[in-house]
Amino acid sequence: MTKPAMMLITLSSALLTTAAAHAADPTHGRLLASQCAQCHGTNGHSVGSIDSIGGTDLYKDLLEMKANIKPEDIMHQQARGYTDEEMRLIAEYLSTQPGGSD
Amino acid sequence: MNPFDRRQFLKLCMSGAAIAAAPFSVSAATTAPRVVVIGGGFAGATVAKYLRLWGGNIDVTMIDPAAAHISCIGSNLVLNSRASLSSLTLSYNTLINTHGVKVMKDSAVSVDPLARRVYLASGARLDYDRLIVAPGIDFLSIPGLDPNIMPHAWKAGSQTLLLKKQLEAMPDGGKFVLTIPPAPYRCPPGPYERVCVVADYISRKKPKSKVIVLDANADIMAEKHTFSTAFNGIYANIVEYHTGVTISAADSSRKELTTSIGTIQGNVVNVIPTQQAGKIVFDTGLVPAGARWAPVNPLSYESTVVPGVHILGDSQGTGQPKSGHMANAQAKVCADAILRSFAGLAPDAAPKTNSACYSPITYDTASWLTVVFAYDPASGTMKAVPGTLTEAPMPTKDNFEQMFGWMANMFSDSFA
Repeated sequence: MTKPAMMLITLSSALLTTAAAHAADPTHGRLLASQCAQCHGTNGHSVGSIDSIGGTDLYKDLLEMKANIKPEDIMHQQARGYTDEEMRLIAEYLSTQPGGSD
Repeated sequence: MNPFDRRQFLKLCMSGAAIAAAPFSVSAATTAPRVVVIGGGFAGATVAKYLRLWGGNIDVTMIDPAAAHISCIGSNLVLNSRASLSSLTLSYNTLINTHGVKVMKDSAVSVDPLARRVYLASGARLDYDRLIVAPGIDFLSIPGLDPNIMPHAWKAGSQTLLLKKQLEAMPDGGKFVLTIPPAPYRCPPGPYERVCVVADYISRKKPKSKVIVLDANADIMAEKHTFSTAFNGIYANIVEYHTGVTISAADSSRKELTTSIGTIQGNVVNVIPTQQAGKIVFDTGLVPAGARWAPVNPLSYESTVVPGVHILGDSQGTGQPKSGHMANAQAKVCADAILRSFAGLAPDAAPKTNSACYSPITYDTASWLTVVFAYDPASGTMKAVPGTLTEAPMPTKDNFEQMFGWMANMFSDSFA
């Protein structure tokens, strides 16, 4: 087998694995993200004084909260409860939602 | 990819195709799947909303005897006049007009789980493909207790106003007695929060008065740091806290309780009785003998006793805290699982739920309590993710403001 052919196979199987992870459960991110709505509003659209989180990519913010937990911040405690992959799925779902507050 | 993963993957791929082709129709039948929801509290309203939001063509009927829901969340704030009952009254109009939920002002009197049919007080009957039972709590009786004299105020509404009126009529130097039932009960921090708002009112209006707390539990059941600091600090001259006290009888006319530490009388006696799942949950055979709550599969909240029936909110027995926030959290897992079942799919295998709640501690400060639960496949239960069960380091004014922001979104996410 030639080197480029092998690379192609490696590449395509990597793509397949990524695709599998995404396709594995199309609603998993939505279900995880729905748990943000009690405080941040349905689909991250806040109707109160707490920030809206729809329409933005929160992945880096969530990772940072988990890496640097401040005891006085309720979100930092929540961040402990999710894996990086779950945070990525939550951020991905919310980023596709309309932003802004009422 | 191991064989199990591959099977799951293939199944999910196929189901993805099925979702795209024919959303949630089990057969070729043209009628939409029918879901009946008993109870229009946080659990019932949220599951009805999300079934429509995520499911589209699902026939959802929610039954509640009340014209609107009065939120228990925030209702302690009525006692020290920091919130009004009208601000806690949540209409079903958006569920009806925006989300297409059918709401019936009626009561479910019985369920025939074999025929998959609900009988209503009006004489109407409803057939279902899936039933969700979310009636909240019922109280165990205490001999001699008249809740119109010794209110519980643990279901918000007229009881809340009665307790407020009694507190305001209490003389300076009076005794406010509050009993806390054995866990699990609705809203773990709620009774301690009530002690704080009553003590706040007393400290400002009737400083010679006392709050006598009779807790059936061995210790403070939630936010121990926050509440013990308040009871022993700012409210040390007002609050008298007793643990391990059981109530065996009441003399309502004398406003007197027979307890394990003797007879206790008060000017106001706020008895929060021991709680169990709502009556319809017992009547439908969803609670095993000797239990108080209905066992469910936490991946779907489907009864482990009666198929096709899901139990949500305070009546379910997963061990997660009984609160409006958790009821909302569970309702989404349930809605997702029901929609998947209509598409021939297994429930999401790794759901998470969370709780976050704010408690007023003084006139203008609040604390918070939070936890994240994850499904544990080994035990088949929801378990707190280590390190997530935390409380605020101290009550703050910022938290008091955030509390109203949380309530606004809680109400809107569940009812609008």
